[in-house]
Amino acid sequence: MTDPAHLTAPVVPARRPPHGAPGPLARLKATYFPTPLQGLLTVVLGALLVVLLARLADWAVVGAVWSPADPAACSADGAGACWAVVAEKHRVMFFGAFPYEEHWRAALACLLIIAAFVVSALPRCWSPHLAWLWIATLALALWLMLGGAGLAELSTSDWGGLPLTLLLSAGTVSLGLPLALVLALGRNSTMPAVRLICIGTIELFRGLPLLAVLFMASLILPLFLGEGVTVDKFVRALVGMVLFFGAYAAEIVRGGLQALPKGQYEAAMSLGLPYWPMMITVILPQALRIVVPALVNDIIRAFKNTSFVAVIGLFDFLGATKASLQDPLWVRHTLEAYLFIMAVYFAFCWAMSRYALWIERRIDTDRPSHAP
Amino acid sequence: MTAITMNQVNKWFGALHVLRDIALTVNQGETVVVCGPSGSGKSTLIRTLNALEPIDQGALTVAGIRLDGAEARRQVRRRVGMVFQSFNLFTHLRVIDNLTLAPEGVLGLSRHAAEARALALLDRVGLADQARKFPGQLSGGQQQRVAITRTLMMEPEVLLFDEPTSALDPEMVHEVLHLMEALSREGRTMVCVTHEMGFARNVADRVVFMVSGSIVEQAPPDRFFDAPQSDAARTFMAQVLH
Amino acid sequence: MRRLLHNRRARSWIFQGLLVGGLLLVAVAAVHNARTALEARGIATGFDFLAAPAGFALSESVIAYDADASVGRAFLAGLANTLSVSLGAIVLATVLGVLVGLARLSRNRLLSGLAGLYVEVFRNTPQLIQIIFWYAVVIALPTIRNAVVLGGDIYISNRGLILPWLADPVAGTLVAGALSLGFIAAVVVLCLPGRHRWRGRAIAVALAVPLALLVLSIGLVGLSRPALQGFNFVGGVAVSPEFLALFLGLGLYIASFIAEIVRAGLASVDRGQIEAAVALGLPAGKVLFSVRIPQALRVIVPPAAAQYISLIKNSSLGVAIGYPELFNVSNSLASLTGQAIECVAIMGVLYLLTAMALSALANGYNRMTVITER
Repeated sequence: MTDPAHLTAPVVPARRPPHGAPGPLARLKATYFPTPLQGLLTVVLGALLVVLLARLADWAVVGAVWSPADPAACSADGAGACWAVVAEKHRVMFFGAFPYEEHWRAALACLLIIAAFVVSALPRCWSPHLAWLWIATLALALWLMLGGAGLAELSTSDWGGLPLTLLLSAGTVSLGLPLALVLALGRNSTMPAVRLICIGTIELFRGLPLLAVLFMASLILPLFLGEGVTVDKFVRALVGMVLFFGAYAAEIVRGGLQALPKGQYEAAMSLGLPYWPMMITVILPQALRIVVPALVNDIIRAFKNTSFVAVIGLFDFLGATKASLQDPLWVRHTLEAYLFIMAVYFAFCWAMSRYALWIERRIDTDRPSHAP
Repeated sequence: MTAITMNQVNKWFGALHVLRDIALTVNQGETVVVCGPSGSGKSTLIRTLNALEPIDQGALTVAGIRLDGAEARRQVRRRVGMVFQSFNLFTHLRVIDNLTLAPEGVLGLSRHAAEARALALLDRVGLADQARKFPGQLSGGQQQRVAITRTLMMEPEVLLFDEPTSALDPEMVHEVLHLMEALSREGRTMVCVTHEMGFARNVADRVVFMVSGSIVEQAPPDRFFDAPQSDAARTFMAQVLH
Repeated sequence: MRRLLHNRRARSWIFQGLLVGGLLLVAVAAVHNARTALEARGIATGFDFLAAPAGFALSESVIAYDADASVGRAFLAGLANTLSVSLGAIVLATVLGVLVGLARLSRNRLLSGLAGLYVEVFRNTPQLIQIIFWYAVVIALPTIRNAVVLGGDIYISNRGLILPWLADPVAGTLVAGALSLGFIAAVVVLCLPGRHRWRGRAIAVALAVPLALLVLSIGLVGLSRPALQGFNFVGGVAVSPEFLALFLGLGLYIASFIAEIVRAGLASVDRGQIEAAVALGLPAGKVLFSVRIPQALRVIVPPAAAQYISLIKNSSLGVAIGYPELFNVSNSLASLTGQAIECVAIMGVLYLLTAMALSALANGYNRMTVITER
């Protein structure tokens, strides 16, 4: 007990840290001035930012022309941003050549599609029943956009602006995802002919520029269909968008199928489940869940890419804006109009990308954690 | 000669007091085993010894250098070798390049000299034929022996081991402990955090037992194992030794 | 028959036979339809038209091309333009993307915040609008007589960028090629897995040789400086507004994706790897360049390659602002000759080959790094 080599001591009681919690000033210092060099960087960047923001505010707010009453005001010396062009043209930008008095129908169709996207985004609504929601939404939106049954009849050539962009996006996603499923399962199939066809389709459409696919759909497809068969311009663009989106999404779905532990397949097969019931009840729900964030990012891309149809002569949001800027009174103020529609696209895409981040974190926490 | 002196060292993680008034001296050539229940601060303690974790209060002298700034940190790290639980071999480099990276980059050895030293050391640990492989192609035990060799390349004055066998399959623990024992017999200064009580009893010169961030017992291994003084030590030993 | 339908293998073969048969039928019908349609319009088929004169001029071309050149040459000129603007944009996207990605990881909140803002803005707006926007910006610049001096003899106006360049056009093309190849070689050497002591020297050589060539050429053939004469610049080399807008639109957009890839790649490196390097006493620069970056590159290269492929494919958006790249040229040729199917096929094959060459490189890289892991 009294061996000098055997030292003992009691447990020291815990104390509070001497510095305590860092105050707001200390936090400010840690994030903006951790070292002299970093502090200098903050000062230089901050000064640059202030100057830039001041000039930007001067152009975009202080000197800006808001009223479209006098287009010449935009060209006056020292005039800032010409937001008047947006005020003047916003109806054409948003609705294209859609008849003015029917704009409410197009706006309603937009709201319906946005609502369907929002509902589909909620994890608690994820089920095969979403297919019915989309069928109903698209049917309603088409009725609003095409008329009949009490509404004045219109054709797809009257469509334009944001409704066209949203309809094209909704059509691309709701037809492209089933195509992607078929292609992904086909690529994993044991049947060589099916596998080869699916690989060929996926690689072909992934290897080509979207513009080339749209070009094929709009120029070559009618040739192949033969004389007398005319396909609507919108539908041709939609076919191109669906094939392109489907090929990319198929690879994402395939990634999900591969990421699923082999044990899930083995467990399902050992229960004696045949292929399709196994896929539908066990494999796909799990595989799709894993790839939701990647799919959302692909949907964002498809949404942005709908603007490509402006090149093949459709008047989507971008196409309608470009067309509206042909007006010689405003042709010198296109920059402001483009900035404005960029802001609208940004609002949609940014919301979706935030959602993708949120859902990624949620899915990660849902999954059982692995042992270290 | 003392290799390490810790004087009234305190450290907090946020509000959590993880090292409490630590006072410890390690002599040159001594092998010290630090043990204790998980969460007792052993890993934190060993990580302060080459400044992987900064301390909040107290004084720390390692290999004759008082740890009090960037330059001292640099000096200490080149004199102190650290072996990690998860090996941390550079996965993108072959074994030989894992070994020569620091001697060339820090000590300024020529490539030729560094490779000669590497091959000699690998030969000593029985891994000469693995020099051209990537870490991922080796077994866990082989990887940990390479990791130990990597620290030896720097001819360190002090070797730190942070649970070097905890990530190994049982059949590979032995080869690593065997190498550590040989190093201890050479008279190297070693501080080891480990649960291998057999190693502690047979190889260590002194056992340091920690509870709740405090050193509560230190003694030669036979004294510590045969006559533990604290209840915590008795409980701990019952759990580790079954 | 019933038994046959119950046999799984037989069922599978019957299904596949029907599928292939059906597709063949559709293909035959499609070809037949196209034939009759083209015959009715009196349009020739086949690839003989490649040798015929194209009969239209391109606003610019990096390879020699004039209105008398053949259709085949027009395709090549389009491809060369596609590759040159893509190469430039890839360099821009890489340099800017790496800088922004590093900035996002900075401890300095202001810097990382600004980098984050850049990424969000450029990633979340359509690429085509960005290209059209930049074109509108260039067109809105002062006229050539009031050209803005960017420093030295570099001018920018609504007619594009004008800078001094080698007086001899052939030497100019060669040196420009050498500079791009040197940059690519340097990046490839930087990305090679494993530890190579010659890496630093090889990068230095890859960058220094083309630069030495440039200096040497300036000495030999002299530098042509632009000068304003009347309504135009004489001398120097002009970068057209279309090239400039497409270069900026593609490069700045893809840079935002590269930045995210770089950030995620650097963040993915295991903390233990960095701790081990620090514990060995390696200085901060060596930790970054010998351990962190090489390990991050394994995560960075494959998605970055996919972005580069996407960039090359989307250079086809040049058609929207009138840059004569491959898609634009094929489009014009299709309407000029009427042989739309052949034009689309040639264009498609050229894009596919380009994409395949790049992805083969990326796959080779993947295989090289995979050996190192078990």
